[in-house]
Amino acid sequence: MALNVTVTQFAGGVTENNLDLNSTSSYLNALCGKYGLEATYLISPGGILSNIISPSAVPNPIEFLVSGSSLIADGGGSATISSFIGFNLLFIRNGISQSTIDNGSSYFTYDKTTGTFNCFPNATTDELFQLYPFI
Amino acid sequence: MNTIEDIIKIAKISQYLSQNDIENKGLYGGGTDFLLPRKLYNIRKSVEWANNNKIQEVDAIGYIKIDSSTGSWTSIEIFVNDPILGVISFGESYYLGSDDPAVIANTLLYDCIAIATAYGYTLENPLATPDTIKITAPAGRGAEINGGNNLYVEIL
Repeated sequence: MALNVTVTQFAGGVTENNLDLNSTSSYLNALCGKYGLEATYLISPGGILSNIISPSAVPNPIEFLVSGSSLIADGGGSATISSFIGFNLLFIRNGISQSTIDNGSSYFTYDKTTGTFNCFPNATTDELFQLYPFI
Repeated sequence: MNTIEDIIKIAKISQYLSQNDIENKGLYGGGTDFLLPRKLYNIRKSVEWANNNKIQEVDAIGYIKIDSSTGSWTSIEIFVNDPILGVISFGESYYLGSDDPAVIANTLLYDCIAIATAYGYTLENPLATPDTIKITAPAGRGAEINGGNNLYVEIL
């Protein structure tokens, strides 16, 4: 014969040994009856609590006198404080706590998702800025 | 749909709940089967044992390797003696003028793959061994198809 072929027989097949397992476990599930319903509720996850932050994880406050090289430089009014992302912010300017409400006085805006901070009016040299993150 | 692992957990808790219920219901356990906690325990232990010792099915694999060809043949046909379906043919391939084992294997694969797939078998032509056809048995055959002469070819 002019065509030579090597046949390697089937190997490695393993027969499942737990054919009754599914049906028996279904029977067990049914046998649990009304208790199973309660038990199902007990073993189910009750929900997810996300963003639980330990107080020790709160970043350190930032304090500085406005200068040409400070976090918010002289004449500037915005900064992205990435270390504060996820936290709320208390902003004290020259010893006076600031509000996010524009009532004609100075105020600030802060996006806790992006850490974007803006103060109004713009910073001037030697102003004392105190930024306190909190949960 | 609860998994087996879930059902085992549920049964453990149900055993406690049913036992507690029977004891709190007073006379006749409120109609609850007194043996229910024990039944739950026994069957749960059986399921747990079987689940811990289960063996998953592994599909058997066979190979057909074209060693050499000198041209004077007409056709080659693949047969499988399937434990469920009996003897089946995947089809045949004809000599097309090339003696290259890789070409013959590739042609044979092309000619047989449709029927093989219809029967649940998987045919492959591994890149590393282009002269070889790898045949994977479908689910449900387990170890029954191993060995013997369940895979063979007919060359005319």
